[in-house]
Amino acid sequence: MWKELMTMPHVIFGVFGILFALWVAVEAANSSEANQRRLKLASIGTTLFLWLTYLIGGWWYVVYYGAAVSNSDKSIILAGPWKWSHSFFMETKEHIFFMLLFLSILLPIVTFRNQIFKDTKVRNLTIVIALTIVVLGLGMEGFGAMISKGIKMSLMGGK
Amino acid sequence: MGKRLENQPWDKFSVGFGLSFLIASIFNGLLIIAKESYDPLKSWMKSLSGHHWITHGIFVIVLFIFLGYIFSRTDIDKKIDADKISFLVIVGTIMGGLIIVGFFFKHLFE
Repeated sequence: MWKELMTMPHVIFGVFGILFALWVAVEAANSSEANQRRLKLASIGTTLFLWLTYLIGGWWYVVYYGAAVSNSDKSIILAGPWKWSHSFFMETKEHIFFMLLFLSILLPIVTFRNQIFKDTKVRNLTIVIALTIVVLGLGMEGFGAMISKGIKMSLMGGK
Repeated sequence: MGKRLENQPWDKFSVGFGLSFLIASIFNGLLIIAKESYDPLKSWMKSLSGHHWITHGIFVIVLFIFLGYIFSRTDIDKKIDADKISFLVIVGTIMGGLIIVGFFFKHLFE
């Protein structure tokens, strides 16, 4: 049961990371001296949740998903009709995620080391970084759905 | 809302790590192509941490931080403004993403 339950935090923290990044974009778009604290809080939250997503998802991926046993998710997918849900969607997902980690480091650097409300260009940069996280994050969620569907297709015999 | 004057220095770390994002994202994609195309490299990466993906992550994250720090030590903030970093973030995302998607695209037709 522990193994099955531990698939949830990866997804939940990922969604929180996306929501916090969206929050950063909104605060930055309406930035003033008054909302700098919220902006920084949201950017740190984005970083925290994306790294939790990475660490928990990475642990599950290495220990369970790709285990060299016949009933691991990877083995089940590769034995079924949607092999590409691993060979395309998982392979792509696990590597594009590193770009999210870069952005999760860059975001608080920009928000903590600049006065966003005083500089339109820096404000726009903050919005670009935050929205890029949102777009890539939503992509990761969609890719995750395709991977789950690949397992389902295998277990259902491709029907 | 005040606008920053042109060519005024801004935070060095924001510039340095913004530029590093572009390079690390492209390197991330190229490292995938290299390790998937050359088995000894993938085996070597696996031998370092137990899994090639863990080593891959350590390599690209360390590179991102290292380059970001190195760039931040220069006067690059006087040459590159925040608009250019925004552009580089978008370019880095598209290029890094396209390298990865493009490399694994053939598997969609298996």
